[in-house]
Amino acid sequence: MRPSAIEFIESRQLRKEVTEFRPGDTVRVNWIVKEGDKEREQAFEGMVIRKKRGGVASSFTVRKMSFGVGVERVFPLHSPRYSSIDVLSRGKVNRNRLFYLRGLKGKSARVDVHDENELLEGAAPVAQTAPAAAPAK
Amino acid sequence: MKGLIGKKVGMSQVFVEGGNMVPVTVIDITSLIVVGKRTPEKDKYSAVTLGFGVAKEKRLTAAQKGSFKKAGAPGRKIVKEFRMSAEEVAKLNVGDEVKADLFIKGQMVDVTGITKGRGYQGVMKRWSFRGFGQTHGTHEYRRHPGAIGQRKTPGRVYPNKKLPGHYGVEQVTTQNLEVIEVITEKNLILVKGGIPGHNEGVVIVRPSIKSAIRESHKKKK
Repeated sequence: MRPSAIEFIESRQLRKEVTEFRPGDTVRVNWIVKEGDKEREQAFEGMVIRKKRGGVASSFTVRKMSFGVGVERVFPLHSPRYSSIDVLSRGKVNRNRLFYLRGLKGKSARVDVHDENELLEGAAPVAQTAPAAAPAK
Repeated sequence: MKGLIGKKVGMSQVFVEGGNMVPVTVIDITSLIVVGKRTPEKDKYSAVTLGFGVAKEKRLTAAQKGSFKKAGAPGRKIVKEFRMSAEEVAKLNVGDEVKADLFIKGQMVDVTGITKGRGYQGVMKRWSFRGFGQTHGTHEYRRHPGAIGQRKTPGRVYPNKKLPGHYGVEQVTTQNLEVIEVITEKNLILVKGGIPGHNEGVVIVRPSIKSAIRESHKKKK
């Protein structure tokens, strides 16, 4: 069992609402960038190839092709540094970690679209509440 | 006041301003109280004695019981003295709880603890020796210390020669750790990075001596 003090410190940092998505989904992460004293949003759009679970340390990796070069970025799931995550399409994949995509290019690097996608069309990004993260008090 | 006694709860990660994540160690100081005072009139120096960890009365020796009774404080498992000026000592009362807000966010601290026991270890682990090549014909000499002395002169191995032996369970101070957060109502202090010892181990937190020296240099200028 984890000590309650650590439980308390971690639970109060969890984001209350975390968009639900899975490996294989294409997402847009609206990351907040600070330039001097100005703030602006910078979107990173790509496919989720890994979700790491671990409470406050949970993270996910997004991969995209940029000018023919694969770019991967790891985001902390509970980071206060992003404003939102938009799910653009649901992917249908047979494994949890899609590292095999790294070795593939073009057509073979595609992921089948999930049937759920029709539900998504035109609709606002699916914002589902993550399992209740009630602050321990 | 010059320090605290606490318990290492364990490590975690927190987001700080700006959204960066930093590793922290959580120190719990619940049950820390003032158990005694040293005054210049009586003891020729001034200090405060802090006690940590609620102790059952039957676990205390008669001598300990006597000293707690005389001071008028409840029993504590660990008692340590911290030097401080007479005026500061005068402000404190025996039996007072010590709060975590002694330290402030951003301050540098030194944390002292007893390291984890590692048993009997060779020179590579204990003293970070390089060892020998794993290949090119090395024969039964991969993790050895090598030569440990000279010839007939001096004809002996120098004292304190780094050799295999028991490693760990020694007092170690990690210096210059930043205080990331102080949660007074929960008696918790979060310091950046790791500190010596196992979880649940007793640690002492003091203001960093290095940053104190640096400050004093600045003042001189």
